[in-house]
Amino acid sequence: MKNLTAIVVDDDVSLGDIFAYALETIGFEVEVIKDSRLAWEKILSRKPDLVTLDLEMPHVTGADLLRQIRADDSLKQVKVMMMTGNGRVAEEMGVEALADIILIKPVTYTQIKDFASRLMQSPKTSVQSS
Amino acid sequence: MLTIKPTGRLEDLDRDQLLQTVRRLLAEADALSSRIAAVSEIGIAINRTLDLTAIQRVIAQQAKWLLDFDHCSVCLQKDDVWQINTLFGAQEATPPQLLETENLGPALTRGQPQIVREGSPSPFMAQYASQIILPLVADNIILGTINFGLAKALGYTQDDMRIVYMLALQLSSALRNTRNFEELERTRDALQNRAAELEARNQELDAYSHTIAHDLKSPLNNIMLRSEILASRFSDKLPPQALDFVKGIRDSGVKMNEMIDQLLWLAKLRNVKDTVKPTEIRPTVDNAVMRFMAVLEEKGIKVEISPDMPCVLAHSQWVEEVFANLISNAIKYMGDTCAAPSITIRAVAKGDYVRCEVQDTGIGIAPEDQARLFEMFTRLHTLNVEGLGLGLSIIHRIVTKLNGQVGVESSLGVGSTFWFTLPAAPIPIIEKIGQDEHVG
Repeated sequence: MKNLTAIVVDDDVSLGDIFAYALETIGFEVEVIKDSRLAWEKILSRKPDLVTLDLEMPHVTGADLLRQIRADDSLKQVKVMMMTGNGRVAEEMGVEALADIILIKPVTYTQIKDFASRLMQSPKTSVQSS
Repeated sequence: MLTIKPTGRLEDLDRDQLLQTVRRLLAEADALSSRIAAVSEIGIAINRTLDLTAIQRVIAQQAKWLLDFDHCSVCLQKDDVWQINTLFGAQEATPPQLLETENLGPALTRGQPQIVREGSPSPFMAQYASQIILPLVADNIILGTINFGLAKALGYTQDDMRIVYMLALQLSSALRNTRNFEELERTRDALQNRAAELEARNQELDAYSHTIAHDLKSPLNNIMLRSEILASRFSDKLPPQALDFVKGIRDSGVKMNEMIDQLLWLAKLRNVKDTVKPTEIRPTVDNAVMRFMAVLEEKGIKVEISPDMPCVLAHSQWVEEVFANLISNAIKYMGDTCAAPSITIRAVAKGDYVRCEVQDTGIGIAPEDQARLFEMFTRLHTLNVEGLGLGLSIIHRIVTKLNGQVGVESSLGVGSTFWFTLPAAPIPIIEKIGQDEHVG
């Protein structure tokens, strides 16, 4: 895979960094954003191939960002990988149908590689992990 | 009381005198019967309500059918202070040093009825020359007095006293009921408040543990992900001992994650109030076993599942979690002495419940440890039994919530059979219970 771009949004910057590293090992060029309030502008301007969102973040949640992304026509091609510590919360926040995949923490290196690759291969993927 | 005062022998009375006597007797009988009926009616009315104000209103309205009076009042305690409530006549003030008055005092302190015939002995009811002041007593406690007064002297007869005495008895019983009811209400309110407090505190604790558990997941994910990447991408650059350490870090991470998930489960369970539904046991068992496929194969543990499992009233995810925890324990405590390690899972209908069993050929549990197994966080007390606490707490909480019971039968060196019961579902269901799609 070449020239793929990703934005990782996670308030735990160290975790965000290692997600980024994992994506870089399979060819993504990755930017990590710690403050979710700054994420929307970045996503909109860069139109990355992949966005990973932490579901529960202060200020702007992963669910908020996901809804914004899905409501914007210019971001139709963006795949979204949602990370959460608790699958039930994802259910409650109503993001199941909107995200391309929901990964329950702890997310493994293998999962990140496999699911990111699969999302880039298929135009419309709907998978779920628990 | 009928009073017959014949002027002579009945035989000597002429027709008119006889007629007059009979008329008088009839009138007196009629009056007494009305008064007794009135007392009885008042009794019924005041015993029908537990509202003190309503009781006093009934007396104020009905007592006039009983006897003649210019004043009627009750003396009752309110907030531990004696107070006079005037029900009829001019408002009578609560006298200072009320317990030392010569009419009210002995009635309130010693329960002595006070009959005044010619002039009030005290500033209380000073204007009433005739007084009947009767204590209201229930369960040997003086609850107050009922007081009648007439301005004229020598106004009350023995009959009047008897009637007031009957009324006092009725009123005492009504007051006792009111007091008991108020006491009951206070106790009930206190209990309800306490229960609500405890529930709120439990919910706070659960919310707290939920937050902690949830927040732990991110740093844990970081640790696990970094150690996984170290092991996979840098294996050629690290000495074998370092790789061993990395594996140790990951294994601990896996364990810690299990505990966090269990904490989340425990916190979640308290809040769920869903209704149960008929649930097939077999798919829950299959799903639970699937979770451990790799480790079961690695350890060579054979799993036998009895055919024809009945349906229970439950939530499929909860039942799966119970089986998963029991299977996890069975694997943990299998030991390595058994030549053919195995886990047998059964579910048998017994009347209106179903008994499920997970039997293993593991190391078994000493009798003294069995009783303590299901206590919350048992691990704190039996640190030598690693990993049992949370899992069994979850099982216990789930099964109890589903109106079942849980227990264990075990022999050291032979193995353990953990069992739990669940209410049987009345009608067997055919379609498979919907399960979430699991990928990855």
